[in-house]
Amino acid sequence: MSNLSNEEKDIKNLQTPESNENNHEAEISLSDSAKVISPGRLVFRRFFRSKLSMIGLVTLFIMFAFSFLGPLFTHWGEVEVTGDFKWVTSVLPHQINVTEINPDTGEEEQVIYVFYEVSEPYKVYTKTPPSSTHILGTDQYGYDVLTRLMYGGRVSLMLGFIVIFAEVMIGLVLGAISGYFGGWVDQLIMRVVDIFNCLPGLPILMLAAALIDGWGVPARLRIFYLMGILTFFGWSGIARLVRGQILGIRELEYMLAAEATGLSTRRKIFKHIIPNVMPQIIVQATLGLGGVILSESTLSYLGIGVPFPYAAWGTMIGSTSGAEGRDILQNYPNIWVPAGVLIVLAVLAFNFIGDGLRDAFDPKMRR
Amino acid sequence: MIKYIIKRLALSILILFGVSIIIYGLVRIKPGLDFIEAKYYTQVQMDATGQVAEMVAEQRELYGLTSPVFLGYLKWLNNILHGQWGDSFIFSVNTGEVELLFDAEGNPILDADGIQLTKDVSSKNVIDIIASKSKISFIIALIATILQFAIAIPLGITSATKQYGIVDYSVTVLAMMGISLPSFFLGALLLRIFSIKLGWFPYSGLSDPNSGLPTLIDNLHHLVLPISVLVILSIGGLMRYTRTNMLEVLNADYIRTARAKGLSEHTVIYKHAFRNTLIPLVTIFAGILPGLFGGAMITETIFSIDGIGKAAYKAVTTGDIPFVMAYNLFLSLLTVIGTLLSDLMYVVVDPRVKLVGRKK
Repeated sequence: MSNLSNEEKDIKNLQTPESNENNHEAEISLSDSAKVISPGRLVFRRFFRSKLSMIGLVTLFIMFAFSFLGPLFTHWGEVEVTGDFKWVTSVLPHQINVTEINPDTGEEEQVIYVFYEVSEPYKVYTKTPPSSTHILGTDQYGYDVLTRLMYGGRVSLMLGFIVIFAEVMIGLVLGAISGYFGGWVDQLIMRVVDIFNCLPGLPILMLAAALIDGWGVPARLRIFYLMGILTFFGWSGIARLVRGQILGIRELEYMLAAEATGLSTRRKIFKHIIPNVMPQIIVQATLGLGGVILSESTLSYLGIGVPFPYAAWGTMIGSTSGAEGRDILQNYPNIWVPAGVLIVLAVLAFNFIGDGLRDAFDPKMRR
Repeated sequence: MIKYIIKRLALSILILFGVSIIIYGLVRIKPGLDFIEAKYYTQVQMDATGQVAEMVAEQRELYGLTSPVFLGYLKWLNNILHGQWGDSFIFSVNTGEVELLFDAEGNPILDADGIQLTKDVSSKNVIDIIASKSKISFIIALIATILQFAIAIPLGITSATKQYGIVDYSVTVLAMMGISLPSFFLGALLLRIFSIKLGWFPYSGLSDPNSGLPTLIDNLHHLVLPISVLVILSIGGLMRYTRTNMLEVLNADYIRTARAKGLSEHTVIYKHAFRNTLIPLVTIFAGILPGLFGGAMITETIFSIDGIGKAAYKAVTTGDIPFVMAYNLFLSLLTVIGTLLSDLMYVVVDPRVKLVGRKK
């Protein structure tokens, strides 16, 4: 039904410029008056027309502002211990058995002395409920939750972008080589891709992340190793996509023309093939970004992602499974719910944008 | 056809071979304490005589942890080719068989009623463990998959037939949310709301002796939350897939013909369009198979369900090499078989598709 109505609209749209033309006499030729819209701008227009992708874009902007500009406005640092605390003295009992002479009876007897080693009072930080100074309260280590959310966002977003960029680079090169040259190179690369595709995702990532522990990587550098791992086990999908696209493009007529003009292989690949594969890659990369963020937060949740003193959204949810897990799960939703909501929002935003891009690049899907 | 299948099977073996190298390498090159060293760490530290250290060295030899990685892999491969998957370091299960007990002289030990005493036979063989632990995971996944299809396909179709309507937008947004939810967050959320706050469902485990419910009902009661997690997480993808395919079919010429003939919208959609959307749905097989038998690591761990996923999580974190190897290869095998099956199913349901020696 809507098919018909859309066509009607199209016909109307077509008629308007023509009718204008008739009014203004035939001095201006048709080609001057018709507005030429480049394919790029068409894509742009279609993208911005879709509500969901706009929602995604706005969410993403807010999220970037929140995590990169937010820390400028907060009073607390990422690893600054703050919030409510109580003074605690620890008492360690010691017990010694002594044989001594009882002054009353004059006989030897066993006496037990118990003495207590009392420490200097020290601060123990407790989970602060939300208040005006700590909008989302503090967590079990005395870190301000809102501030941690911002720094966690930095990690997730940055890591996502870098990993996807690296994945696209590797996938693009290997996929292009495989698709363009074919033959045994293709066979070799595709078998490797097959192997990587069949690796079970989470167990492999867990095993690899455990490796970083074993190497004793310092906490600050750990995140770079994490990026390496996520890239290493993630590029195969993009390589397969690129290869498939290139196999199709290779047979098209303009490639025959490029061949006939005597262009070099490099020029053919980088000037004529890659730009035509880009739309699919951009869509895939945007959708993949959400996946990378999910993988990172899953590893952090399991305690083998972003290391402890540094903040990550996954780690904050992970606090529901530790020693105090039940307590935090039950009584302190302010510690873990916001982190989860942010993960969902970030992944959702990337999915919306990716979807919007796909529809924008591929007008066939629109009715 | 047969030639094609044989070729694909040969390729599958190659793939599994590569997968096994990667996994074995990952498990073995990890520096630091291996399983045995970690297990006896405190004892070695406490023991001054060096006996424990000697025992540990012996055990490591026995568990195959001392050989170089490459030789160790060859040894492992050799065992696999002889059908020996090895014994798990940490798990053991009852095989269901019983062993008759005899005393030192070989006389049967009898209880008060004169019946010979028996002992449950337990097995540490990883295949036995996977077989026994994956039962509950399979039941959970099966129920979740059926629910998922039952909910996702009708919603996907409605969404496509009313494209850009309210139903479509809400279904799309909900589906996307399902895809975007991390399982650990959804699990924690459901536990917080339905188990702790409302008290409708139990907190963890599979059965509660104090519930007073029949066993089956009690088990199902425990499984409601984990199954909900699995369904909510996977429903979105299927829903969107159905929607996309339905849209594609609705654009086809034969649908226009059907409408032009004056058929009712209902007939057009459910008789002409829906059947054709089933073709691409067949390819989903590849994705379902590993999930169906392989368990869900995080969901099972959150809800403390003693399935294959939780076991795998424990094995990976403790470095139980035989189990990790067997489990991961099992998953890869399922993926390979799933892909092959979905390719073959494609040919069965869609006569336009012909197999030509290589994949698209």
